[in-house]
Amino acid sequence: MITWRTDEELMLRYRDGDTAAFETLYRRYEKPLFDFIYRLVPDSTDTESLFQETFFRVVRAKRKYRVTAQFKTWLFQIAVNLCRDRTRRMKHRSHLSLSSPLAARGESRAELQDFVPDPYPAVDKAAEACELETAVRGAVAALPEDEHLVVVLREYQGMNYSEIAEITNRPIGTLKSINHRAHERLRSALAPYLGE
Amino acid sequence: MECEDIRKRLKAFLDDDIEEDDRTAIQEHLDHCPGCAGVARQLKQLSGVLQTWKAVEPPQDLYGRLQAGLESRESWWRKVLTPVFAGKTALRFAEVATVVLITLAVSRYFQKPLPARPDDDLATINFYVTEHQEAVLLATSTVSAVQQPARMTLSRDDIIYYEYIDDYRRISRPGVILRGPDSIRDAETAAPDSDLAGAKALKRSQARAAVGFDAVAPSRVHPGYILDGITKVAGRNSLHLLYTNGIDTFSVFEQLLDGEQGLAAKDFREYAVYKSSTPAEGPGNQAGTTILAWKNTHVSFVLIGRADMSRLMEITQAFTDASKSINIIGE
Repeated sequence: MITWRTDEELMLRYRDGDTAAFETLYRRYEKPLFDFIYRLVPDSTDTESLFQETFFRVVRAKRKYRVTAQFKTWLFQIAVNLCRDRTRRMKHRSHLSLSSPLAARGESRAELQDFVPDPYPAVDKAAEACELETAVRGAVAALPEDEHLVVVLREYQGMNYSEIAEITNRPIGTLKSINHRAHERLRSALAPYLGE
Repeated sequence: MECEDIRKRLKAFLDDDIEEDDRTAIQEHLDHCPGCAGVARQLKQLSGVLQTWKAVEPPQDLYGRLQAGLESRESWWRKVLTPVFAGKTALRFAEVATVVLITLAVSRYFQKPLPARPDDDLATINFYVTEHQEAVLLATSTVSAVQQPARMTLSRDDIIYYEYIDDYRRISRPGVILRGPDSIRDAETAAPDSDLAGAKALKRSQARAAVGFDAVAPSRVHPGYILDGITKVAGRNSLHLLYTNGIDTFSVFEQLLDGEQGLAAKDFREYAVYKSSTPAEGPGNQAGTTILAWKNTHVSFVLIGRADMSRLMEITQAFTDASKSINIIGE
């Protein structure tokens, strides 16, 4: 019978040289972490590089690893920080590369936005056929950054507020308010697909 | 409370993440305010709608690429020292080989034909199936539940093979898959003694008093399912938990293992899973339903719903996690 070990036990074993423990940890989190990053930064190239970078950080930090928090929340915290950096860099680059020449030609703001590449292009073109899925993806992606993060962690990763609080370093009460605001926004954006 | 205050708390109310007094006040408000009740229904539906954005699968051989990336980042001196650890690697290989051999031996043992066992467990599961079908009918159809819907029941012939579930899912017990019939069974074969329409929704404290144990009843189950209600099964010492994500529904039945009419500990050498291959058509038709039975130390669980195997295991895991935090047996 295979013995169940907690994530933290596996990480400690990995720290002490057990590479099989790392693979077990990786297998546990491959799907949820990849899916999480994809929903935050849904560009296929970026998703994979951010995913890999998250595990590189884990490997790099293994010698300093101490069981002070859940491995899971630590892992997701690393991923969140990397995703934030990437998103901010992307916004900055878009602004610099697109604003000047178009503004010089007297383009309106609305026209300029039409030239801004979609920051959330569909990875799977076939999925675009599904109108509802596309609408949901668009509505979630359009949420403000903090709401987007809470919705992805709660609705798609099934995390409780305590875990989200550890990842985001925000009080649970604040997270509940953020979640409420996010759901109001989503309810409004997806109203055509809801009853009433 | 005013409508604005109510709406701010609706999400927490639906997540069952609210004080009992507030819950009562909000419920009373919803009973009399169609506007807020409509928002509540939309929020409930929203959970299901959000889940239409499907999870993306990682590309194949991602681990291989990660390993390659790690190796390329390794500094030169670590590469020099690697041969020193070769002995350790060989030892690790021997350990892994031993585990594989033991696992194969265990798997072979469980591939043996099933010993003859009483069908009481199947009778109980079939009873729960009927209860679930009634609940779905009531939830999805405006047509009277008196109408005879297509039914399904299980028999021991439905068993096709054992499946070993490894610790990746935190479950290291062998499972058994039960094959469903090609066509849906007739209504006559289903037990017609359900009294669900008359069942009363219970609070947790009431449920505990009714059956003598604390229900394992997470208020939310990933992805997007919300606990719709707890009822006591008429004539049995069982609780029926109904979950919905606004689109799909599943039921969990819980009963003490030593109860007279429930599943007994001996029935749980394995997970019992049923899955019908026939697509569902119309309310009450539960083809495509999966049934999974499991237990903890004191309580049996029977999960009935339409979900694939991986989703089913996630739901099971939610209950396993929740059961760790409560005292199962009543005082």
